[in-house]
Amino acid sequence: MEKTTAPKILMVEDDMIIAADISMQLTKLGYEVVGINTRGEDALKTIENNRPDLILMDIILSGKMNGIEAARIILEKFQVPVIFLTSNSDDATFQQALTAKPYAFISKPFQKSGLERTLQLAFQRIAVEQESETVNELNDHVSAMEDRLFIRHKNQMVKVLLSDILYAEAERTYCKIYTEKQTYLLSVPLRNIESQLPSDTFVRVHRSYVVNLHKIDAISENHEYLMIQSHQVPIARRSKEEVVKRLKMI
Amino acid sequence: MLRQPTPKILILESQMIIAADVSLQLSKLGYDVIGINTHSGEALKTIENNRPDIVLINIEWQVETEALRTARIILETFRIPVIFLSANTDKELFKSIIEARPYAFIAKPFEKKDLQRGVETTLKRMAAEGLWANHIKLV
Repeated sequence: MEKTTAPKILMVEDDMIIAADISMQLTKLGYEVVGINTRGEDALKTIENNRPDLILMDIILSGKMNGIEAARIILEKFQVPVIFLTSNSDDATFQQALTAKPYAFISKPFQKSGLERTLQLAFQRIAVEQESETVNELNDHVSAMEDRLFIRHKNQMVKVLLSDILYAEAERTYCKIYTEKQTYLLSVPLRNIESQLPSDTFVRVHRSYVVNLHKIDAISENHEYLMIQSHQVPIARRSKEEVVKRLKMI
Repeated sequence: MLRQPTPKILILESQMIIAADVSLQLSKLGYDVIGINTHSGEALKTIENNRPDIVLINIEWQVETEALRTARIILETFRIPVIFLSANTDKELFKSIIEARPYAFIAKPFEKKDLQRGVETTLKRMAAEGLWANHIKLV
């Protein structure tokens, strides 16, 4: 992807001389330094008003909060990638810093080439992650395996047996899967789910509904809708024949 | 919460003395070094048979283009994160390295803590990208 504007970086560093020196180097490397804050509290305000693409965060800051605490708040509230600048680093500090999920660490003192490389690598990774997020939404939310689906649900892949699925319902670009016990909302279109389901058991009865034939409890007299437990599912006019035929087969 | 298993690391490095040193440092840091390979054919076989979580590649391991080619196979076909090690500071080379999309780059000479930072930030990215968590959940 071509970047039209320079990536925006926020510096959070208590030593203004070091901060000014780094921001000069960053500018020379073609980055836009959107600001320098010496306190974490101020940095959070800056981010709220002018969201940078990346934050260079010193661990020791003036003010009440240290860089790790600030970075954790940033991860939670803003999800702006953080790189830590550190001079000393005992193991306890390092383990704590990791909880803020930084993209890299830069040791002070550092060389310009090291700074440049770390930033390039971080921006590359950010781009890859943004790309794959889009791809994930299309493919990875569901994967099929013989008698089951794995569905991304609250950041985990959850197993759902096909025989437990009642039906799936489209909701604009989303899709809901109903099982006897639970309902799953997925950020993928219904047709992606449909393609993962075996066509001998699952039938598209309506633009917005794919049902499990084995779960149908009743069908209305003129075949306008069918019942699955207490759910009423509409049948599209042009699907009526197909649905009735498939039901007779079972 | 599931307990995180120990990350398995494979080292691709032509000089055994360096590789052994890196391996020792990684073991001390608590990682599981599953092997050291000096040739690309062997490396891909090792990966197929005993899938590592991370592959550490010294760019001077082979001719640079060969090392990069192997790295791309590992990253794109096997979808295993790669960390590069290099003493070379050439700008063009670094550009090619970036294009292969590694998870970290460690400049030589390095200390134990640089290795640790490289591996740990890589694991964090893997978790964020679902590589590390999926691994625990599904395999």
